[in-house]
Amino acid sequence: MKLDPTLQVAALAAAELAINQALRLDPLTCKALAELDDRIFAIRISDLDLELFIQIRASGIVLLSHFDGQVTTRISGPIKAYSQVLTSEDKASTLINSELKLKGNSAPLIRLQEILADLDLDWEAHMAAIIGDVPAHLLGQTARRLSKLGSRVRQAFLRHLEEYIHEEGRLSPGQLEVEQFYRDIHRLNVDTDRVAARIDKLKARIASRSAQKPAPDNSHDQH
Amino acid sequence: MTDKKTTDFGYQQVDSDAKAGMVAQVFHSVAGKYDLMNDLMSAGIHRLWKRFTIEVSGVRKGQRVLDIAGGTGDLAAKFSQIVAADGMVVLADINESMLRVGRDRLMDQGLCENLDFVQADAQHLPFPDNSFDCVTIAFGLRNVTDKNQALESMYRVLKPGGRLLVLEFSKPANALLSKAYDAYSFNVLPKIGKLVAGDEDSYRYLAESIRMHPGQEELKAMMESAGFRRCEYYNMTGGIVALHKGIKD
Repeated sequence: MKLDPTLQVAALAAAELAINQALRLDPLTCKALAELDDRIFAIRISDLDLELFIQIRASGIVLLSHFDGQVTTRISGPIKAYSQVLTSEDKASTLINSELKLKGNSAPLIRLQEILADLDLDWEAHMAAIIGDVPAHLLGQTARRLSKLGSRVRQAFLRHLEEYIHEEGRLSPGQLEVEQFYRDIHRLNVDTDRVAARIDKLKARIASRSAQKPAPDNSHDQH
Repeated sequence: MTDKKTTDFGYQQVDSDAKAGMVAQVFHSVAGKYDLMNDLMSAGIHRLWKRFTIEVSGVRKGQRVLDIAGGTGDLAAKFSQIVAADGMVVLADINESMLRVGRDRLMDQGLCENLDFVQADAQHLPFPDNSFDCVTIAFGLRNVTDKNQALESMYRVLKPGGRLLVLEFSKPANALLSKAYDAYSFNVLPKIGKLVAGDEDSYRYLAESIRMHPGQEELKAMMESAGFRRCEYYNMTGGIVALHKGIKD
């Protein structure tokens, strides 16, 4: 069933507003987006029968539910494939190996992804305009401290979890053990190849000696 | 006995010659608070309807756009930004008060370089043939005395390949929604009009004129009779509003 255009336009208008407000917090990204001015990207989510268009303008991004003109790049696929690309560390390679189908010029799309990946929002400057410099700085400092603390806690948790799995629980071998195991297998593989080659060589030598050995002479027996 | 031509003015039948003056009186009365009333009456949804109209219009940089019954200039402001310095947008309205409010508002926004303001009757557009890439009329056609004549006039001023977009109240597709909409239009809407704009009658006329306006298929047929090809329409908000599109071959 097709979505009522009013709902689609409302959702896109809200998303466009949020994206453009975020972009305004990072002037460098805005500047970089200007190089893609007037490019149109069509995104089709096949399982939801939904299509939307992203138009890049020097002033920001425009989200459209309807576009009749020429599209720079057209992407289509199920929502699962989009979510895989968005959550992946290496987006470009996931995009190539995913179920998403690309049509048109893919270079501007990859450039757009690179620009958005570099998005670095200056929340402190934005807050300063609303609540003042000093409170914004204090909030920013607290947020940075919390972020650092969160990152340290996350790293410590992952380290302890890894130690437990490898050392305490012996649920899985450690990375060094696995690497050594693979090295041993590789060495065994090479040694086996060598032995096989030596055996082949010996077989060949025996075969050639048997061929060179003269046949026994029986003439003396007749006298 | 003289055979005088009549037309609808809300639920009343009036002389065709008198309708324009009566409609003008309604809009003189509401012009000052038109934007506020639109937001209140539609809960701001009229902005989404207009946004969708702009998307479907496919207007590009450098094109010429005519916005008929442009009122306070919502569409013209957006078109002015899209067509940029190489393009041109003409905001036309038959009503002087509405045109003045629209012109002041757009000038206050710094939009004037590629905008023209023309007081014009949609039935007799004062422009040469084949002069616009796109013509729009948003919530205006139902107030025009002779809609067929207006559609023919719009066809004439469009360039071949140009698009006409008619955004107008229409007939809800769902019976339950239709009943709720009727109750709102005839009970709540005039009260809001009285409270905010101090004019209950004008808003009652607006509700009545919406009911008298042709439905989706009828308007599509009228556009085809005027010469438009590839006519289609999009129902919005369950058909409360429809956007009709036609192309001049």
